[in-house]
Amino acid sequence: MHPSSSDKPAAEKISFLLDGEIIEINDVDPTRTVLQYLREDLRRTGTKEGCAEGDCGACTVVVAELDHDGESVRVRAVNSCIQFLATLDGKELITVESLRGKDGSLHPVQKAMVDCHGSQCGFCTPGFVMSLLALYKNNASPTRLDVDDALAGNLCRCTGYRPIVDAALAMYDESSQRDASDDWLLGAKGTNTEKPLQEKISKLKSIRRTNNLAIKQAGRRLSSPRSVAELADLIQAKPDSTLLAGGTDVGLWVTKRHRELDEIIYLGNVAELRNISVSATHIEIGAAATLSDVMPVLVEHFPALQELFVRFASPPIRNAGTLGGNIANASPIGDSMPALLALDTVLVLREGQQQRELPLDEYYVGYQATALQPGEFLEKIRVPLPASSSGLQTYKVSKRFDQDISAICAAFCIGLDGDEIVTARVAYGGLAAIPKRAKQCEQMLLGKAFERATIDAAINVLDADFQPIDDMRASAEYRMQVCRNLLLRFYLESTGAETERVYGYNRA
Amino acid sequence: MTDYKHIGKDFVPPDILGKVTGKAKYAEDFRVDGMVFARLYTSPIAHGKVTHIDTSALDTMEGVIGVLTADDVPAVEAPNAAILTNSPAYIGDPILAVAAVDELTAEEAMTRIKVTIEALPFAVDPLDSLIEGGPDAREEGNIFVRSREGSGFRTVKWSQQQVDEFRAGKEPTGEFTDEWSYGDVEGGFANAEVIFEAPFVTTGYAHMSMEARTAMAYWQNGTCYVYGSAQSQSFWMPGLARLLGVEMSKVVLISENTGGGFGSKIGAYPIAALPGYFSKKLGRPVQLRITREQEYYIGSARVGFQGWIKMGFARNGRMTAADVFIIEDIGPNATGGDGSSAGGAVSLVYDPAAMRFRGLPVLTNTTPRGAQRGPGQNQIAAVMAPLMDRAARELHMDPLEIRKINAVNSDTTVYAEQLPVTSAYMTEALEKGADMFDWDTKYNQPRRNGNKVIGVGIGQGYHSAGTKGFDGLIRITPDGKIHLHSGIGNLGTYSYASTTRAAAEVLKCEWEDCVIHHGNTEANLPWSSYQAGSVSTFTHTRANYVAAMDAVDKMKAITAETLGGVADDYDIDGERVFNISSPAQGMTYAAVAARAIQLGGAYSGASYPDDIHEITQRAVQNIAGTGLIGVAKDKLAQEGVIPGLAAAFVEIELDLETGKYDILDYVGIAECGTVMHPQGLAGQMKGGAVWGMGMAGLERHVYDPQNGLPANVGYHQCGIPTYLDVPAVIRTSAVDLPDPQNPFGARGIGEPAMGCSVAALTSAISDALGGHTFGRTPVSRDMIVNHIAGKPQSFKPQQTNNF
Repeated sequence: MHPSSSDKPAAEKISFLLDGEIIEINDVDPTRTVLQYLREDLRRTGTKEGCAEGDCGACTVVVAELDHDGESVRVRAVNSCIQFLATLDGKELITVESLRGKDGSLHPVQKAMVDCHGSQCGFCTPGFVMSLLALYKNNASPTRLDVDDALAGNLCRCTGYRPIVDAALAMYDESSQRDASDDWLLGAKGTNTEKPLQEKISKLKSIRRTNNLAIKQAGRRLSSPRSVAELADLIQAKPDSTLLAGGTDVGLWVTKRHRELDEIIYLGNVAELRNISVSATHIEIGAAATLSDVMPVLVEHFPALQELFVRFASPPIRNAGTLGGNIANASPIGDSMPALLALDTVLVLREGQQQRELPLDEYYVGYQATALQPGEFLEKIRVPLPASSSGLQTYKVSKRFDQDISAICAAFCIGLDGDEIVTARVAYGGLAAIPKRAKQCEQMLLGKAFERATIDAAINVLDADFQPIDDMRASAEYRMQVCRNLLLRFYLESTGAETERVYGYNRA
Repeated sequence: MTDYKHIGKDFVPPDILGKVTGKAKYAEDFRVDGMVFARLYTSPIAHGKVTHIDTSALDTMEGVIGVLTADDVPAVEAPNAAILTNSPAYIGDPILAVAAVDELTAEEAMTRIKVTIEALPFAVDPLDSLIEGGPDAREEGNIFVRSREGSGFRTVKWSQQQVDEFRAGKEPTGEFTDEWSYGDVEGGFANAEVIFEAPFVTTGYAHMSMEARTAMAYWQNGTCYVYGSAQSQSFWMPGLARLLGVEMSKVVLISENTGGGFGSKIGAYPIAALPGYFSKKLGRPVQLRITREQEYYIGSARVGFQGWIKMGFARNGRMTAADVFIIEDIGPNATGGDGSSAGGAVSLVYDPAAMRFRGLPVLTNTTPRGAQRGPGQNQIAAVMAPLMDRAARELHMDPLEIRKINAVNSDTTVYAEQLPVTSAYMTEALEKGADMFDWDTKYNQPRRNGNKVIGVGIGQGYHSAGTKGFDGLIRITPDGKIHLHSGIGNLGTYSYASTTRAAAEVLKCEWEDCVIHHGNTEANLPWSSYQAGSVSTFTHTRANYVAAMDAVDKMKAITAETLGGVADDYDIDGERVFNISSPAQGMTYAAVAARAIQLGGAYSGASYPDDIHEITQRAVQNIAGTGLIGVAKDKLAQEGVIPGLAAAFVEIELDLETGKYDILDYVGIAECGTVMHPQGLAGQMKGGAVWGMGMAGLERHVYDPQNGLPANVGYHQCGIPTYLDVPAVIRTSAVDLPDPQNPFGARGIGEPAMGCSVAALTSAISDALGGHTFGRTPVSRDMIVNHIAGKPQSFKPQQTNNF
């Protein structure tokens, strides 16, 4: 066995902050959700359950935690309906009830919602308020696009959304009857005075855990190791364990499918797995790094990913969900995979002490089936640098603009030497049982001139690469038609044909 | 324009504070001592008979409190919905409920129950049932006609050839059950310059209120207390009492806040009574909170249409005749009536000189149908808009002009009976919208830009927007407070509050001195209308007006009786009743209220008019002697149809390669008489616009025809618009001309706000595609790309509820 990250025995209780108070819970049920805890155990019913699957945002709460540097606070909105309570360990939970002052005064976010008439039936309102709070704490002067992004995870069926957008823009000008200099929650980003900020940091430090967590309750167990080595041992010992990262899918197994998860290993406290590093040859991403953390790094190197990532699920989901989870989950319609396939991504898999590298292209072996061996887990994701990938482009086609499963997701990476195509990686999601490269199409491109005739020939063999099915998201006919159209569009756009991009239209 | 103190002014509805702080309580937020949690077992098959239920595994299961089956609740006659049934007629039909110490235990219990169900034939597309030899959704027949002359099952079948011809877009020749007409239809077509026929399909879909419905109930001294998710308050009472099998006086309904309804919670629905029966059986309070998926089943859905229309137009653009045939998908419980309402909307919005409507309501084993925001009017709005564009094109007219030529105005007569309207200003709405939108420039702009093409469209929405005959109740207490009792209900439009401002207006008092009572039968609420059908504003400004006028009359009479003179010597100023010729002489409202208590009789509510509803009578009895009571039934003059109208203008940019479109601009104009509450009206117009956008392009039922399984049972599957699917700016305004049959000139707007949007967007899509009409909502990306690529569509003509 490896020495534990601390010599202390594993803790059996979790600690977190709520309304400034430290809450400690012994042997919490590993699959108790934050929402169940709030509504059933505490009877704090302001947080609502709209869908129990992270889609509607009525259950949005804000989680504050020490940033990686340990000297600042990071704030994010998450869906409490699929967040397990145990994952709050060491963090602060902020709910709609936390915002109102003891004197009954409203928080500026709440005041703006009232003034702008941003609530009708009101059932979605607490969730919107909390998404707005996350924006308020993270952005000093948001653009319209920032507001768009911050609210993309919340559904409203009454207001037509516009009054809520108005509130988002107005909230910075609202004042509170309370003394903002003494209240961390009241200050928008950048406006907090040192005192409440330092108090917040020291309080979060006071509950920061240095030992492991091991909870047993009602026959279920949750372990939260702090190092990769410990994680590897745990998985080797219990290869059938459920690995829990952001819980944006595992949460649904519990809330929607009522699956009993007897052994859970939570990855969120394994610091190495949350690392993101950039070297001359690749970007290396720990498997438990959240999508919100990963995306800016990838976009910096591959600007073409910007639009895809904005449309990737919703902020609460991206704040919790991880890139590793998106890959490991092996859904045929995961939005990250076509782009990662086009970028020739390599996975680092680990079993005990043994690591092996496997191209992502070889990872998927069948519908929701991967090349992972028992006891093995995804440790890191390596995206090659530099930009042999200058020709990267991605397209997502779904019914809704965001927060929707793609009917088709496409990524193209074409490298040219003069006029000749020397690299051709063409990948699609939604067209087969796995995210898949179009190998026959790629062969038609390689070595040819980058011109319309080549593209037309490549388009014509896409039928050989894919035989999609009809489902409620799109017909097979549509999928093939658009699959071809997107490759042509990529060519037209790359060669300078002026076309508007989908995102940003009439907005910014 | 009248200079009002409250009418037309924004205010902060009192309950909005609870909504932004999380204090607002919805049905699911209440807990009482000893309460247990129920969950539902619903039918996994589309049509069948329960032959055996085995719950023996629960006998020893820890935490399980009890089971409720169809045998424990009153049986109802098919096709009406039961609280629980042994004859499930759709997937999701409630069969039994389990109560446990918590919801998770109740859910776990469901997996241990064995229910044996014998399968019966089922239909998920009305045409599959209508064709010879096709399955019937109910053993009693495939048609259920609801009519004043007598309701009943029928079996109607069309020959293969009749169905084929209907699919081919020809006039239906099969049997129908409903018909009305006015004018000389044949003559109208004979005089037409342009005539065309068009088939159409509008797919039904769920309401998708944000709150999955909950009910909790317990009994105390023979009275059933129900905490419900209700769209209306007083209007629920007769139905709820009937469902519970008790007198209305033995039911208390608490419904402080409701997470949306959109027509699905207008009256008491069966599942709301389940906790009442379960609680009686267990002797404990029971809460039933259904799941999001069950909300897709039980929460009801819009009626789907499969139809055919023929229209004729004179050279000047006037519609000379219209002939409409609609097959209605009325689900398993024969609920709807949308078809005839759609016909009525054609008659009102486009005013054809002559018209015929024929309808056939067909049962299917799909989600139960019910009123959904503009039931009938909004489906047909989407059908009509691109066809009006087509007529304009064939007559070489501007699409705006042809709408103005046929626009409803205050002289238009409507429906089969050719009734008058109270007032209507559609022309003004169209002109105002065209001006704000800059229609002329946008209509004449270049349309193609690379792989993108611009489309512009105009839509018109209508719903009748008012009713009459309900009661108003106000009370002035000796502390000077004005108590406004509102029994409308609170589903989020704030009309429960905005309509009480009519009383404040009459009393000339400060809003800060007013207290609104609502949300609980025990808060002494008057008999009020349903909060639906866009009726609250018209109906309850009248009811509040008559109650406040009654109070003013009493205040003057009391003052005269106290200070001398006659009532007409006195007037009010908001705080005092004063002598007109000697203003210093008078009494404060507070003093008048105290005097009313002394004088008793009608002043204090000890007696009351005998024409008020029994619910209002009980409310008055309870508050009698606590102040000056103003109470009256609305008997103000009212004649003709009360129209709520709206017009919308949309510009889209459609991507020819993916079939996706962005909405670039949206202008919505309300024509609802005097604007009562500007923020509330803007909220309705914007919310309605987004609903229309969902209906036009996103929302639909999808059923697997092999097994009758619904595929859209989650938000992410049905895909209601997120706010990135709707335009960055939604501009709204109002015509703001008063209606003569409301004391303040107001009419309702909730439903037309959506109809104008779905119509304008459907029109714009058609425009972007060079006038192609799909004759179907929603218009999916697939349909657009298949059309552009010259490929056949993936469904049969007139098919519905399909992939």
